[in-house]
Amino acid sequence: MFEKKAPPLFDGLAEQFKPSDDMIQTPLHMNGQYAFLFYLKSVVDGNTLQQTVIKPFFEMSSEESFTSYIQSLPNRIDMPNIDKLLILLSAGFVLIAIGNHIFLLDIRLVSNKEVQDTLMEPTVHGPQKGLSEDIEVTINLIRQRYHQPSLKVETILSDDESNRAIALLYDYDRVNPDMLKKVKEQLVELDTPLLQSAGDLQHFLNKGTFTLFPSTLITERPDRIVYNLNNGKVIIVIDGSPDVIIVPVIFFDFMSSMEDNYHVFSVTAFTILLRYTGLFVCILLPSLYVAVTSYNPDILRLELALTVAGGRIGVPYPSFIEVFFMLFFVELLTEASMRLPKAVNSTATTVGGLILGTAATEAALTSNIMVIVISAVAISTFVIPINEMSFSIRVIRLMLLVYSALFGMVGLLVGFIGLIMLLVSKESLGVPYLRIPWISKNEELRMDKR
Amino acid sequence: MSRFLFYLILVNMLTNMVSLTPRILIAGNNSGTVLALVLALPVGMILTYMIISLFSRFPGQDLPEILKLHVPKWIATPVLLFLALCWYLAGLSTLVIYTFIIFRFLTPEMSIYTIVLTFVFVVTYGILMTTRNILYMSEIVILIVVPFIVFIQIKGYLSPSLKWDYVRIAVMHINHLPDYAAFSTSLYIVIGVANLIIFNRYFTKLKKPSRKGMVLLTVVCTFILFTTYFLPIGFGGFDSLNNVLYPWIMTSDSIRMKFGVIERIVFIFIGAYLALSVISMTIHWHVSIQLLSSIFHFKRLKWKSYNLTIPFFIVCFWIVAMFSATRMTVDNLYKSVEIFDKYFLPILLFLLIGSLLLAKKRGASNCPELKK
Repeated sequence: MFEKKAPPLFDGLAEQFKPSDDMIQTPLHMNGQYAFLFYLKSVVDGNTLQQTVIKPFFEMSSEESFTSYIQSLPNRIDMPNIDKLLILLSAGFVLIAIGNHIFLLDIRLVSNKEVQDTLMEPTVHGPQKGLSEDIEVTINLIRQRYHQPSLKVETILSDDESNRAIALLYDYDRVNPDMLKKVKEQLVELDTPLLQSAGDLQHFLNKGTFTLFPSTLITERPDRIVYNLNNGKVIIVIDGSPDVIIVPVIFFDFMSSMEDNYHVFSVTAFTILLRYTGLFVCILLPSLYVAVTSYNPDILRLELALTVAGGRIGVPYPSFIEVFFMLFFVELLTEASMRLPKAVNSTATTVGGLILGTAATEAALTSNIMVIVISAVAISTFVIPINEMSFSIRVIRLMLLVYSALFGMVGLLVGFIGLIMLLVSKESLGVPYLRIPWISKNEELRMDKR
Repeated sequence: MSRFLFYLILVNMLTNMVSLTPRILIAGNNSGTVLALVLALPVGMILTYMIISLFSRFPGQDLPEILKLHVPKWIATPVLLFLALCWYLAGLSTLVIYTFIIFRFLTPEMSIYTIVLTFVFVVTYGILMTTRNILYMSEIVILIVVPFIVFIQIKGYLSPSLKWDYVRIAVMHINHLPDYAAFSTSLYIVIGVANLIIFNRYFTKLKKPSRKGMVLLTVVCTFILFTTYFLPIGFGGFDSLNNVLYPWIMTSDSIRMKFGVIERIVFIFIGAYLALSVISMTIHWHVSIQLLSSIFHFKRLKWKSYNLTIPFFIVCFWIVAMFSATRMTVDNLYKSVEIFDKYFLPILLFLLIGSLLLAKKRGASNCPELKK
């Protein structure tokens, strides 16, 4: 009996994928009708393949009707070029050859589809579920919350080894076209060997090696995403990561929690005030301690100055070493409790926080007031809602500390202005990072580069 | 009127409250300071109005560009050079006076070099920022600082140690002819809008000042100018204040917060004004460096692909600043500020307005090509 051969393309592909065991190249054959399948077993959903391709083949009367059946399947896509075809096959697409026609079907098996809880940015109200690691589910979650025809989804295939799908989401009516162009350029220019997650991508989008502040925002909250979409920002979704990237961002984005929108005015105003107070405390307090104790104790009222000075009796080194010493341990503690498994975590915190703190004071290595200052600083660092910013603040704090250890009270003040200068002169995709956003007054200044 | 214009004026005005300006004003309290103040206000406001409306004819252009387009080079270069020198001196006097204040009141055991060095890093970074970002920065700093300043002033006006009788004595001296030094000094306080010579780059939609804006500006200027002069007199006495070098610091040191964590207001005062002085220095030297780099461009001075003209000027700035901060005495500084106010300021204003008028006249004759 004459047996039909698989098309030459299949053999070529088989060569490429050898010696993978999960590569399947199989003919379907009934009553002189032939069809050839080519796929990778481990990434293809076998059930769907069985239901939508194999079973109908044996129920159809002729090759023609099967061809037209396959052609009308919703998950069929047009044949791309050979390079892209290889990528798609390894992502779970199925190649079908019937007669002279070759079709490509999307029958992917994605096992990380479940929607994750919001862990990094928890709120009391608002959605408790975040995004998914699968890009389709993520886009679905966003679309289901933002029913606008102007919401565009553009998919870009990344150029690196992992060939992940990256999707750009934006509201076409609200987004700034120049900015959108810039984002696309940056994504195309992206030159990295391996892209793993949103964090990775964010790192590469941050231009320049020495950046102090994040110029993109990573979030896992769908409500934050929709809020930002509605304000004309671009969302970058990357396959395999439960976080998305929001560009461009300004400083105040990092200081806002989604919960600000869910409370009554007084509560919101209070929490915002609290947050900014926390920000100032955690930046300024360590440096202020150094400046006040070592340079200008006369700034404080007499009683307080005496208390501070009295607390330092017996401390064998100047205040800036004291602060560096304690800050160092607190940073270690924070870092350790972040990385440790949950079971050991509480032990580390107890040992570090309680025992070390008390013992250090009793051994006269630090003053009591220093311990209070340091714990206040540590707590207020956690008030900042977005983690990247609070990490940056931790670094900035050290720089300011050095400056005020060198130059005293004046150093603290001038250094703080320097910090504002750093923030002001930063840009996130052409949008100034820090400025006072008076509504409807943006037209005053020319926005181009000069 | 754009709010950024207000900031330019406000920074200049507030910074001068602490520097030698009140000293110069009070030196003339027996002669014609009061009338000089009263005269300087309308003159300053008219000049402000003129400068803004002249610049509004050239939206988005700074003075070097305007002059390059409309005025022959042999006029433009010396004018710009002189203006650059003036702006440098203005920044320098702020730096030196604040260095002295810090040395005397905050850290007497620190060396002058260290104090100047405190400013070097931050102000250098500030000068190199873009003009737009300097405006943004001054807005933020003003928003942080002004509440403190308002608080201090309210505290001062409500203080029981403020003796209005002294103020009345001072007002009584209105019958003297205006003192020129006091007049030019107070003119310098209100003329912060002259910074537009570079900052006009970012005012693309600068309109002629509205009536509301001018009224607000006049009220603010009047308040600050009169506070600068009269409040120290109310605290320190009319005659005895002549022996005080920094009248405003003495004044703020006479106010106490009985229950505050910081008891002596003078530290809040110095802190707030120090922040403003950094902004003022940044603005002045930014203007100066931009003017200089518009005149000189050393093509040879290169390191890799960077042209080093601007860094070269900045290094020169700081060398001169270090030198003058260590060598100068307060007496020298007082005299040189007086000379600056008396002679440089009128020439500066004359040149600025004159060259703008010339450019306007020239621009009107070849108007069509100008309008883009």
